[in-house]
Amino acid sequence: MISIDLGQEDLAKYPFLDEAGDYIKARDLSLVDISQPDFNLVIRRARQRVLQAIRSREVSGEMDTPEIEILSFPIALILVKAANLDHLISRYSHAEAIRVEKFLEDEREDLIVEIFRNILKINVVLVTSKISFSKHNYKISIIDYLRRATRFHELQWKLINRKVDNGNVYLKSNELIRLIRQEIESKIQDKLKEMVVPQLPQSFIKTIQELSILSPPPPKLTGKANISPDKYPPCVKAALDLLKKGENLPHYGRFLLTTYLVNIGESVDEIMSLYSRSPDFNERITKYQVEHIAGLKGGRVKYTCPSCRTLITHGFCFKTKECNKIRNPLQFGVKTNLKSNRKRK
Amino acid sequence: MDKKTSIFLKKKFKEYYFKHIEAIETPSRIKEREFGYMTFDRIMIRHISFQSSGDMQARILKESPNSVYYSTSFYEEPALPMHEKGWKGGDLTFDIDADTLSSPCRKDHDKWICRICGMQRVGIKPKKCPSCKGTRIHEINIACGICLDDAKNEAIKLQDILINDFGIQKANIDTFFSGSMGYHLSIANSDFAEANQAVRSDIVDYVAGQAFLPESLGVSRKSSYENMIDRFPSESEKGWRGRIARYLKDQQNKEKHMDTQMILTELFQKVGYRKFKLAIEEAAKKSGATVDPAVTTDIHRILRLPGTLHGKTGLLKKRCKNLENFSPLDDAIAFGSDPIKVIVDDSPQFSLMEEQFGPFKSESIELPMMAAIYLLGQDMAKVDE
Repeated sequence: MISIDLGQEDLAKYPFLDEAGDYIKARDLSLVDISQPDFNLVIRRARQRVLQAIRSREVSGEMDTPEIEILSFPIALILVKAANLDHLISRYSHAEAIRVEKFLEDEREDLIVEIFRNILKINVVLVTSKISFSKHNYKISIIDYLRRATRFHELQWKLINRKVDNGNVYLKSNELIRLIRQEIESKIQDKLKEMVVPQLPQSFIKTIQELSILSPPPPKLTGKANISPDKYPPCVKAALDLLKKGENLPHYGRFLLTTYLVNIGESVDEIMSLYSRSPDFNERITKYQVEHIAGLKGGRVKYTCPSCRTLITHGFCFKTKECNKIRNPLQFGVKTNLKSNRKRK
Repeated sequence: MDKKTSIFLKKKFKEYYFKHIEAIETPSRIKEREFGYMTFDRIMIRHISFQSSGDMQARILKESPNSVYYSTSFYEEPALPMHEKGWKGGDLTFDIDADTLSSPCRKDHDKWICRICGMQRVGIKPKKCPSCKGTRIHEINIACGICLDDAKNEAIKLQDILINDFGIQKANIDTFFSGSMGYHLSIANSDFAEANQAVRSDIVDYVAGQAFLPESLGVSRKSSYENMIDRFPSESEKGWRGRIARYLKDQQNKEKHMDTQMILTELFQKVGYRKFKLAIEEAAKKSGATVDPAVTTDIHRILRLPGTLHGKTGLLKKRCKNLENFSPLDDAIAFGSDPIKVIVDDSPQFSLMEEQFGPFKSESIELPMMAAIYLLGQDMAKVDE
């Protein structure tokens, strides 16, 4: 529980807090009550929350009437849960998380610290003195930082590009808040998962049907196989080049090449034939290793391709402009194509 | 290695362990660790577990292996196959190897043999054999005092980063000479015990000075020169900003007496963003510690057990109580000076206990035990009939 006093406005901003739940319980309202004309604005706002998530991937913050903002949140959750669409659940959680993020950015420091400590179990400490050229308001432990920041692929999030001292990472408030978007999202997702949909009034059912129609599933990432070698990412091309030139391909390059090809659907035999050109080719060992990676041997786990970040660590990233903002070589081409398609629409 | 030599080495290792079994360190949480060893017939045995240090010692005495390893991680069931072990966490470990540093002495003592045509030379292993153009080239590294000193410097840099930046107490960093080419640093019971591979990978990049951005110094592609000097770090700043500043200051002409902000501003104005970035990357790499990323990020790795013998050198993996004063080619010597006759095939010069040996070429020679075992283990010599 949060140890500082929360006003109605605070609850409206952060309706996922237990305190907001208590507030609603205290009002002792049933769904039937809510479906009465008196609460029209609440229902309308709940519908709008979900629609905003579908259309603009971001729920707005409407603070004119905090009460509507508080009450509409659980109603929106019911609408989403009842629609029973996985992609709507994740899209809605994400959009609500972005809404929370926007509020947190302008939040008073003591409440930020409380929310982090109590809801996310991260010990955030306020920093009062200036320790570098720009002001960092907060510090958290390196491990708390890394557990979250390793999800981001931009180099600016790497620990080396952070202000670090004596086991702590210093952050500006927008950075601290960006770090936990995923967790707020998970919190909301968890709420949705745990939720049991009650008997719903007729007016709700119509809205749910409407929202389901408006929320088409995201495009599937198809066309994984049959990627021609000229469409391979630069790191995979570099690995192939080394093999072709008969040069020694370092261990990590081999791992990358094999996992990449396995994951785009190349067969063990096709992959083997690439290595057969290598001067130190040993059919038995190579076959075992390729089959192991493909999940046909040993632990029976199909290995996925190492991420771009891991490749940087192992000195095997040959990034080009075409890589755009991919996080994994497997996204090369796929993700960039998707983006340009979206733009064209 | 011929049979006679391997039997001889095993006998000598057994004699050593018989006298010094208590010197083998027992890893914390021994019951949760996987152990493994390599025999002198080069067979690798893994997925063993021990209930106590007594069990561990008994097995080492009985087998007297070429090398003994323990997992840096702890598991629910350490003796089961890898995917069934149940990973619980692991020490944060670093490996520094002299053969990954480009010490100038390497061209004098490294040796390579082409597995295809048999050509062999002293010097750094080429990418391709100059004779047959093959790439199956076997490398024989001998670490000398110079490259081991370079490795030690990397270990000192690493300790400095772990202490100052990560806030780890010096007493909690277990530092060892690896028994051959470098140093192992291991941190048990830290915040990082449960860190996954992605976290460990980012830690590697941090200590190695990898992927440092000019933006972290306060400049970008679009930076104006206005106030630039205020954004750059001073030498006394903590973390990587200060480390880069100190490196550049060291590189500066000492008579110039410029402060680091001025040095950086001048550099940026002179060369522009792109070359500035390259210069900074170089500075970061040089100020970081060169570690093997695979050892830190691989959470299923086994590492040589402290206090055991390295099968290739007969030297010990030895705890460095005081790294600065540690001298591996004296302090990690396990065998004495009893003379023994060996036939040396081909060996560069090397020194142990401040005594120089070699170079030798196809000769039968009497050597002190430590030097003989050093060559026998590396397959540069065999036991005389």
